[in-house]
Amino acid sequence: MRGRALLRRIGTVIAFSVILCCSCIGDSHAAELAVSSVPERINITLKYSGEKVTLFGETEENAFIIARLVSVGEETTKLNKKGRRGFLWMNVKTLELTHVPALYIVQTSGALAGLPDDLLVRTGSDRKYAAIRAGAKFTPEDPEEDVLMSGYIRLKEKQGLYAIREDPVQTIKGRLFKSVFFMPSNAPAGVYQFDVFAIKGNAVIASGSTEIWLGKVGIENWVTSFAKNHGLLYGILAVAAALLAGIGVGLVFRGGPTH
Amino acid sequence: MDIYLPIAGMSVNILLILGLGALVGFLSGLFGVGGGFLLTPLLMMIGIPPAVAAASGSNQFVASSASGAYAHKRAGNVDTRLGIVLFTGGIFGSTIGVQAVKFLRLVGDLNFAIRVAYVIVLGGIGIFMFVESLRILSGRQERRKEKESKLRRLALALPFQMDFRTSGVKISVILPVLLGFGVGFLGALMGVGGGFIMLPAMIYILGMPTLLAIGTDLFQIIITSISTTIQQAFFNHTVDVGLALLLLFGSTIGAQFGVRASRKLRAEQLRILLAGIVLAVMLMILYELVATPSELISLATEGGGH
Repeated sequence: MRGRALLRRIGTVIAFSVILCCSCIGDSHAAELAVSSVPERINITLKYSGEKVTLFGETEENAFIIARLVSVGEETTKLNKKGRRGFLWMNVKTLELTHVPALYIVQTSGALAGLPDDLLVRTGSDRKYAAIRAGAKFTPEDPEEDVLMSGYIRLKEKQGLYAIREDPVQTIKGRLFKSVFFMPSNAPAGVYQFDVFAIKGNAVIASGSTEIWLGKVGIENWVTSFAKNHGLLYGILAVAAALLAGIGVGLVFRGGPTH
Repeated sequence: MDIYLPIAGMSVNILLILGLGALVGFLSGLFGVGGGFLLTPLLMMIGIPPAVAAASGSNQFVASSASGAYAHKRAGNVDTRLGIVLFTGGIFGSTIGVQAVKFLRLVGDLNFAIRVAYVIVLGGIGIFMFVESLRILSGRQERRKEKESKLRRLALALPFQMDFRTSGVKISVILPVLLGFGVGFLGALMGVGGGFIMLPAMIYILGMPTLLAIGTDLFQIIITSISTTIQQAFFNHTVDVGLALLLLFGSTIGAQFGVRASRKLRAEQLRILLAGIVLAVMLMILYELVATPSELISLATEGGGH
């Protein structure tokens, strides 16, 4: 654990140096925002239970920062829709929801209330998740898609996978900023991206992004690929383990196999 | 004490899962019911994807019902012969039931009728068992043997008589095959395990002793859950072996205590508890049907994933 903490500290120092260098080189492109994250790669091991990711960046003094962590690619979710039949409620339809991110977390350096709506929508940080709603696709189509989408967003917020949080971006020495994101353990393996916007006078003065990788390693990776590639054998082994365990415990409780 | 589950794709608290397993295992040993009606929603409550919760649940039922059936077997409470006959009927029933569901979905909105029918069937069975056990418990020993003579006479009159020595009944093999068929068919149609219908049917229609019915039903659940687990692992890759192993450690131990508890109770007491659970499940489904849902959408049990 101590080695890991040290590594992280070294990583932080490197990240800051990289940012400083980038900002020196990048002066001619005023719209380019230098950002970096520590770590840039998260391994899912047996003990993994989510991980903190720190985002660093550098921009003009007193700029308002909107930072967003979003999954690259999309996921498919099967949903049941409830409806009313007489005085009874029940599942009346199964829908497939596509073209939505698995994870979408926005953190800002202050209250969003003062910013104009179109700016919020453009930076994907409005409370209604307009950017996600615009892309979302239901199959088959449904007349109540807006209501269903609100339900889906609440579901994701409850799981900790969607969030819009005001204030967790800290400014250090005026130009440097950092924000600690938490990658929840139920975020699926894959590539994630940070998108960062610096805002001044109700306009985006700079933006930048960086990628982060989340993947299963070791036994987690092995079990997942075994389950995918050898489903039948996996199933038979799972059943055998269950039978052995069941009968084994039965024997133990009887004080051994003596009849 | 967290551990990451590879197929569910999230981390869980080990002690929480062990405790859930113990609870379900206890009920399974006590009543011979699968416990799926309880486990899948509980797992979904802690955030396990529905498809993974259902599939891993069936894997753990292999363990808990094996543990329970083994203990009942040693106590002489399993009629293997009858179990196999019931299961044979069950396979045909569920196969045709799955096809029937496909057909009915094409025809129209029959989910509604099915749900309502299930509530009525469960409610009827629960109330009947409750009243019957209460009457015996309260001392008026009207033996039910005289009452059920009609069905029993039919069972004796039909051809293909078979001697189920363990259960102490000699009846036509047609009856248990039909019973297995009916329960398998209803299970597939309603998407719920048939234990709640099978158990009362074994006790009241086949005339089996309560403990023997429980032991034999457990034997039947082993076979059903083995086939479900392998199918889920093969077609959907939704069996999380880590989750199942944790659950089964809890549930196999819970099942042993359940079997012990079941031996301490009188048959009528056991039946009245079972009636209570059947009625509770009925009320749960009824509540879901009547109460206005807080969300119009929910994650679907089948398929999905990333």
